[in-house]
Parts: sequence; C-alpha cells; structure tokens
Amino acid sequence: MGAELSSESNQPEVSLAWWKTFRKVVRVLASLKLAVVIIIALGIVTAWGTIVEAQYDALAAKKIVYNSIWMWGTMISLIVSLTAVMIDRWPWQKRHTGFVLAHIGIIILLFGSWVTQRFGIDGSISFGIGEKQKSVILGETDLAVYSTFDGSQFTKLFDREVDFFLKPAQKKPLAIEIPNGAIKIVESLPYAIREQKFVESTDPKSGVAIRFQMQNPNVNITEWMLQPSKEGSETKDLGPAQVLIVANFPRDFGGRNAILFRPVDNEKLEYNIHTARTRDVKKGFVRAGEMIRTDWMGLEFRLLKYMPQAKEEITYRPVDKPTPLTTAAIRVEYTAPGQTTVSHQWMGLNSLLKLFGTSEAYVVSYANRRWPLGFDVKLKEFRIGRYQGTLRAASYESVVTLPDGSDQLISMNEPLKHAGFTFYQASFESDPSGRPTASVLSVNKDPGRGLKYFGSLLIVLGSLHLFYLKRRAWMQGPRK
Amino acid sequence: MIGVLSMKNWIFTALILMMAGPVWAEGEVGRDVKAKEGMEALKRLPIQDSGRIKPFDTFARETLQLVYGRTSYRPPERSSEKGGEGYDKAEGEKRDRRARPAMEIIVTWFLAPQFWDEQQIVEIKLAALKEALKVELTRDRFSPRELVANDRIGLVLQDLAAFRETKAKLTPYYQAVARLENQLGMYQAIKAGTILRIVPPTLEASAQKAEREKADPLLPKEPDMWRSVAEVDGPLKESFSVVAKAFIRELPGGEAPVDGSVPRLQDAVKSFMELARAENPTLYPDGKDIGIEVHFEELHPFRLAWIFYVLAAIAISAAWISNRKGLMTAGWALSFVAFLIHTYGFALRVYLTGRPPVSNMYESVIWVSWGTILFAFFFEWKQKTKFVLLSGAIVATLCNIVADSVPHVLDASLQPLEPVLRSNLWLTVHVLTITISYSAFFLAWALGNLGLGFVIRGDKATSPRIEAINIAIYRCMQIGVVLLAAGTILGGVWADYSWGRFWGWDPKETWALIALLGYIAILHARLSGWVKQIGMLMGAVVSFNLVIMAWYGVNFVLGAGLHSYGFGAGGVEYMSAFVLVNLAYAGYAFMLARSRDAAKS
Repeated sequence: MGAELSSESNQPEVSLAWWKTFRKVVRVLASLKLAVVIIIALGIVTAWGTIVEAQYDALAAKKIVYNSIWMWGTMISLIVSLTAVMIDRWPWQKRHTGFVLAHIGIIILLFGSWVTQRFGIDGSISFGIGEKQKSVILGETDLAVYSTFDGSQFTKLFDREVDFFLKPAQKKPLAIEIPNGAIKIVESLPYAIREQKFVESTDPKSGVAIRFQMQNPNVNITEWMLQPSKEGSETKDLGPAQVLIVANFPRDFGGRNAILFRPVDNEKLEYNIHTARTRDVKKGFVRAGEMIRTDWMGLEFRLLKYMPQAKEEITYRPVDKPTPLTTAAIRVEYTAPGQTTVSHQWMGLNSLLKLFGTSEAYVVSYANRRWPLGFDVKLKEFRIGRYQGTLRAASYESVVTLPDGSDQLISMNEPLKHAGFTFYQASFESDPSGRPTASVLSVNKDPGRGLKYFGSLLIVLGSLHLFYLKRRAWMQGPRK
Repeated sequence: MIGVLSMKNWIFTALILMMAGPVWAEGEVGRDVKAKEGMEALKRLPIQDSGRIKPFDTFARETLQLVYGRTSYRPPERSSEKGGEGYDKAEGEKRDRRARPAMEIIVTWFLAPQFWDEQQIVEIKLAALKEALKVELTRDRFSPRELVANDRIGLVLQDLAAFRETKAKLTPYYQAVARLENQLGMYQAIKAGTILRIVPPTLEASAQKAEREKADPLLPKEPDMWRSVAEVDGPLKESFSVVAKAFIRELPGGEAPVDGSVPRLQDAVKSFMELARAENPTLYPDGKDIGIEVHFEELHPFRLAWIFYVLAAIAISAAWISNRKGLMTAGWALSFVAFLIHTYGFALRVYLTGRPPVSNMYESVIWVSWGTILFAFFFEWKQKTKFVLLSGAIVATLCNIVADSVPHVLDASLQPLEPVLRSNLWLTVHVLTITISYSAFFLAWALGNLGLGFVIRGDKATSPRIEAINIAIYRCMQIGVVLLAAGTILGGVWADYSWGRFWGWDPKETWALIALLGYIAILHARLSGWVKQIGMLMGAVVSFNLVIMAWYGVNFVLGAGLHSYGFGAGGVEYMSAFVLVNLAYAGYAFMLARSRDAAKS
C-alpha cells in the first residue's frame, strides 16, 4: 500500500515566498518517516484501548482511550500527514491513482466516523414481552432535580449531562442549589454492587424485620423480610410454602402452606402455621434464636433475628471491575431547607431518590439519556431457537409491532429499518430458569454510513491499483 | 432396564478379569473378522449429542477426551490399589498397555460402572484444583469413586456456583472446576444411560411438534429430542440389551455362550437400528454421513498431512544442501501429496459441518496453514528459490502438529454454530479473507526466520539468498496487507449489518487493524529507506506477533469483546515462550548483523 517515494513533480511557477515556505512545511509533514511514526502511534493507542476493554469494559475503553486526547491527536496527525503527502505529490500523475484513492479513502472513512460519532444515535431498548417503548436509551448520563409540593406537579430545578466516570464526584463534588438548602453529589462509583441492609429505625411507624432460616435435609434457605409499616404486610414466596408478616391474622388461609407472623412486642412474634394437607393451624410464640417445627417435609423454621422497628438501607459496595451485576452509583448529600444537619444516601444509575423537606419534596434522577423515537414499538414476542436436543441457542428473534399495526420480525443478522432507525437483535434477559423475560434491541441512526462505505470502497480500489502497478514485478521470474 | 441391569453385574466380573488379567493382552489375536465388523457397526450407531446427530464413535472419542484427556484409553502400568482379585492374579505377568479405542471404554462405563468407578479415568491437571481437593499433586488422573467421596468436592463445586452468580469471567481455576463438573456429570450420565440418546422421537411426537409449528409460522424450529437408553422400553430396550450382550461377546477374551443365544454384534446392531429407524424413518440418518464422519475420524487426515509435510521439508532441505534437482522434484511431489490430503480432510470437514471451516481456533489453524502452502506454491513457482516452499512446508507442519496435539486448547470436535455466525455470506467472506491474509504473513514469518538464520551464519545483507528471501517477504506482505485491509473492511460491513455499527473498537477488529497498521508501517518504512534487507527480515518476524495477538491473543488472552464465540483458554504459557524465544532469536541475529556493520566501518 506504499506510495512511490520519488517526488520529482514539477514546482509550479509561483514566485511568492509564502508558497515556497508552504511547500517546505508540506514536505516535512509529508515525510514517510513521520507517517511511520504516526501509524505506530495509532497502533499503540488502540492496543492500549483493547487492554482497557479486557480489564474493564467497552465503555471504559471508549471513555479512557478512544475518545481521549491521545486518540484525537493521532487521528488528526494522520489526516494532516495523509493530506500533506497528497499535496506534496501535486500535480498527480497516472501512477499516483492508487495512492491518492487509498489516502483520500482513509480521510473520508475517518470523516464518516466523526459524523457518526457527532450526529449519530447509538442506543438500545429493552422491553418485556407485551411492553411498549417509545425512546432509545443512550450511553450519556444526566442528572436532574425536581421539586414538588403536592406530589403531582413538579418543577425542574436542575438538568445537566454528567460524566462521573471521567470526573469522579469525590474529586469535584457537584452542588445543586435548592431554596435554603443544598443537594450535593459527593461520591461516585463507576462499578458498584447494590446491597440491601435492614437496620434499626427510630421512626415509630416502621414495621418489623426478621431474618430466618428454613431447613430440612434437602433445603436450606436464609432470608430477610421487612414489614413495610406497622399496618402493612409482606409476603415471601418460597415455592411450596409462603412466609408472611401481617398486622392481623386472617381467619382462613385458603389451603396453602404458610407461616404467618404477627409482632406482639419488642421480644416476640406470634405465629400461625397453616398446613394445606391437613388444614391444621398450629399456633404459638417465637423469639429470636428459637426454632419451630412445621408439618411440611420435616422443614424446621428458625428465627435468627428480630428487629421490632426496622427500615431498609441501600448501600453500594465498590468493586474493581464491572460484571453484569454492577452498576454506577452516586452518594447524595442532602441539607434539608432551613436545617444544618446533613444526611447521605446512595443511588444507583437509572433510579430516583426522594428527599423530604418541611413542606416540599425533591426528586433526584440519575439516568441514562432517553432519545425519543417519535413512535411506539411494542414487543409482541421473543423466542430462542435451540440446537436439537440441547439448551444451546441457535437463534434469537423478536417480533415487534409498529404503530401502523404491522408485525415485524427482528432476528440475529436480520435487522428492521423503520423511520431512519435500524433495530438489531442484541441480546435478551432471562429468569433463573433460563426462560426469556425481555429482549434487548440495539437501535441506531448512522448519518456517516454512506461516507464510511464510500471511503472503504476508495481504499480497496486504491490498494488494488497499487497492486496492479506492481504486476510486472509480481509476474517476473527469479531476479538475475 | 432390567435386562441391561442384570447384565451389568455379570459384565463387572468379566471386565475385571479382562482388564487386569492376561486375557486382555491376547487382545487383537483373539478377535476374529466378525468381531471387528461388529465393532465397526457399533461405531456407526447414530447418537444425538451436543446439538447434532453423530456416530457413536465420535461421541465416544469426544467424551473420553473430556473425561480422560485422550481419545483412547491406556490401562495404567500399576493397577490402582483397590485392583481387587483380578489384579493379584495378574501380578507378575506383563500387562498389556496397548491403547483401547474410546468406544469400548464408553460402552463399558455404561455396562460395568462398578469396575470403572475404581479406575483412574478423570483427568485433573491444574495443581491449584488438586490442592483445593487435597489430593496427590503427583497424579493427573483420579477415579470417579475417590472424587465423589472427596470431602472437599462439594465445597469446590459450590464455590464455582457462587462464582457463577457474580457473572464474572471464569478464571483458569474456575474453568478447571467447571471441567471437573462436566467430567463427573458426563460420567454419571453415561453410567445412567441418560445421555445415550440413540432412539429418535416417535412419529406421533414429531407430528405434534409439526402441528405446533404449523399453527404459528413464526415459531422457531424446536429441537427434536431423541430418547435415551434409560427412557426406552419394550422391544427397543430388549434389542439394546442384546446389543450389550453381543458387545461383551466380541470384546477380547469374550466368549460366545454355548447355546448360541447371543448373536454377533453386527447383527445385533443392525436389528436395533432397524427398530430405531422404524420409530421415525425421516429423522433417522441413512448412514452415509455417519459413515463419512467415521471415515474422517479414522483417517485423521491432518495428521497424515503433516507427516507428508515433514517429509517434503526434509526433501527440500536435502535438495538445497546437495543441490540435486531430483530431490527438489521429490520435495514438490511430497508437499503436493500433503496438500491434497490436507484439502481432502478440509473438504470432508466442510461437508460434515455444512459451513466454511473457520468458526473456531482449531479450524482456523488448519485453514491458515492450508493458505500458507497455497501461497508458497505460487511464490516458489515464480521465484524458484527452494526457501519459499521450505518455509511453507515448515509452517504447515507446525500448524498441523499443534492442531493435533493440544486438544484441550484447540477443540477439534465438530460443533454447531453460534447464532451470530449462522448462514451469512458476508461472514464467510470476511473471515476467510482475514485468515488467508494471516497465511501470507505466516509465510513471511517463516521466510524471515530462515533469512535471519542465514544472517547468523554469516550472510551479508546483499547476499543473493537474503535478496531472494526479501523479494518473497515483500510479496507476502503486499498480498497480506491487501487481503487484511479488504477483510477488515468486509468485517466492518458485516458488523454494520449484524450489530448495527461499522466500527466499534471491538478488540478483535481493533487487533486486526493493529496488525494491518504494523505491516503498513513496515512497507512505508521500506519506502522511506528506514528499513532495508535485514530490517525486512526482522519486520516479518516481529510483526507476526501482531497477527498472533489478533488471531490467538484476543480470544485466549484478552477474552473480551463481541467475538466471544471464539474464546478459549489454555496454551498461553507455551505461546508466550514461543514468542519470547522467537524474539530473542531475531534480536540476536539483528545485533550480530549490526556489530558486523560497525566492525566494517
């Protein structure tokens, strides 16, 4: 793919001194040695990107490397070098065809990529079967704060794109002004695992929390349960049996296996065990550390911990590397209007946080940006085809319904084009048994596509021409 | 199963005598032609496994490979401590250690598990896993009994399950645990017969399925699950039990009952297959493809090919040293024979899988070496230096030997395709173009090493040999760059079509680009006069490391990105050692050439 080094092109008849200087500068920039350095630099920068991707993920590689100043610098140097070498060879001759085509092709390809990056849309939509979506989720993240007095009318106080990945909040906290108070993002984690904890609460309206173990030779389950409020109830379904915390016992329990608990005081709970087979109800009291025998397959129930007033606390534990379970998270510092004490709460990406003042409330939203499609898409069906006699997937396909009522099939390698957007089958989500629950489509709009294809075509044609020039050298026999 | 189960106890005693005693040693002698034909028939019994119908022989080889780490079984030198009576009897006599075919072993796992439970057949290589299990570090194989009884194994497997919950990539340790889980699972499933799916679903079941699919034309084709030995009953079960008895009869040392109640194996298999076919004639294979697959496995074409490539390389080297024309003709002929066998093996594989054979590392190694030979033929024909064909033969030998000898890294089994790779022209064109460019670079690499060898032995940069090698390397790089550029762009087109973006800095595509940049840099440096003859030799050797990274490294070292269907593990230490030794060799040659230049001036 090399160009001819010789450049005995005739200098045009220009007497101006600046023209000579220009040609001199161009000659330096067109140097092949400089080109080699730039090519190697590009190789090194992109290699670094793949290592970052292997250690973290594609998003990290994009943010740290591919959108970095290093990458931009090498790319711009490359374009300058490619342009300079073409100017330097001016006026072009027939034998320059391949070299010019290949170099212009590369410039057009890079320009097309920039157009895609700047004006294109690259996002995804995820929906369960039967659900509708009307916007695409993009990679950018936004932080917004709303205030409300009645819970139905919201006023937007703040809305801005944030990038805590490159600018962690612990280095540069983000402060949001609210009347007489403050909301401050003081810490951010790029990769964190959500953890749920139950802690003692001082609020007299809080419900109880229990931690229990159910055990027989085949089963061993340990779970937490939290009653949402003093009057509320909570149910945990454990397959063949249910565990409930209730404020009052019902008379009958519809012939299911269930253990029902009712808080009595700070020490003990009252229980009713309903056995489906015998329709028996066993009653009694239990304290932390005590064990109850059930009549179901020898299951024993042990109350491990009892908190008479408890609340749920969400924390995020930082981890070094992303996995499918990690999310980005931020810590919000809140100073309620007119107060001096501050409270801290964690929130994950794509969630809402409610903060209460004396008469008003604030809602903080930290989420990926949504881009309106301009129409609705509904997931009608999602299916996985399997290879014979295995669980190995052979194909994935989604059937979506468009606003005109038509059903369209989107499968791996068979995208759907509609209203300027292209929808591709990207992946799916499934429940623990492997049954698909949601389909993930990647959605994009690429205005740079034509340029990239045209540039690629020129590169290929140029390379072929360079090859054609060498045909004699190729066809000759051994050199004497 | 009663018939088969009652058989099992009898076989247990029989096997102990056979495996441990001198009876087995009589081996092949005791077998008549009919016995061999019977075994051949059983090899061709169709079985459904891992998403396709395959010959029983292939299933047995793959299973033994997974559990035992080899495709044939070699009885141990010393019997295990719990060898039983049979062992004591055999003591003092020389034991036969000839390898037993996989099929005999797998069938007897099912028929006589009591015997195999005690044999050291489960391969564990990773020391960390052996430590975790608190077993002897000096052994590589353990008996199913001792592993099941191991008090740490439950914890180790639970630990794996917990690690999987985190959805993080499996580390080599967890990969080894996952393999152990598979090994034990596979052994158990064969013992119980649940994985021996050798009877197609009934016509009724197929018809119901067809009905469901007809009712909803969008419904993807659901699998036709075959029935296992454990599931069938009635005449099919009885027929299989006859197959089992006949199988025992044909084993070395097996004897026909006097009353003639047990038929020859060939007849027993035939009548079983007739019964199975009658269950669902359309789903039951006609035996042609099964026969071809058995032929492919037994011919082992790629091993045969490398033997001929080695001979070709020897002939060419001899021709070069002695300068005799006849030897060079022999070199050409031998490499051509090797190439024909290589191509034949390839054609069989393509026929059997019904797709271009570049969907995993093993296949790409075979394909790239095929391309290297093709380029070597062309350039040798043009240039007539002997070095090009020699380099080609060396690369082909190297690739085919590696493909043949590290089955745990390069999986040779025929596997169904991942969804993203199914039936697409662009994919085929893109992968074939990129990998064939690797062939050209591989040839340049071998030529470069050869040239550096000449430099070490005192050749000057201007010597005719170095000159000739330089021309060949330059041609290889040119054609490689054009193919790699075109292939990378085609990959972009394919990615745009399939994933919705032309370029996404995916590690696989990025490394293909980096390799391309590396060679473009060399070609430009050559134009600028930065790189001269010896520099080109160096360039051919050093840049090939970029190809290794793009080809092997992304899948086996980085293991990230969208090309995950080709990911694998293992061999990293060998590959790194190979790369380091090669770089040291190239560096030494380069320094030597430079010091000579300095001395001259």
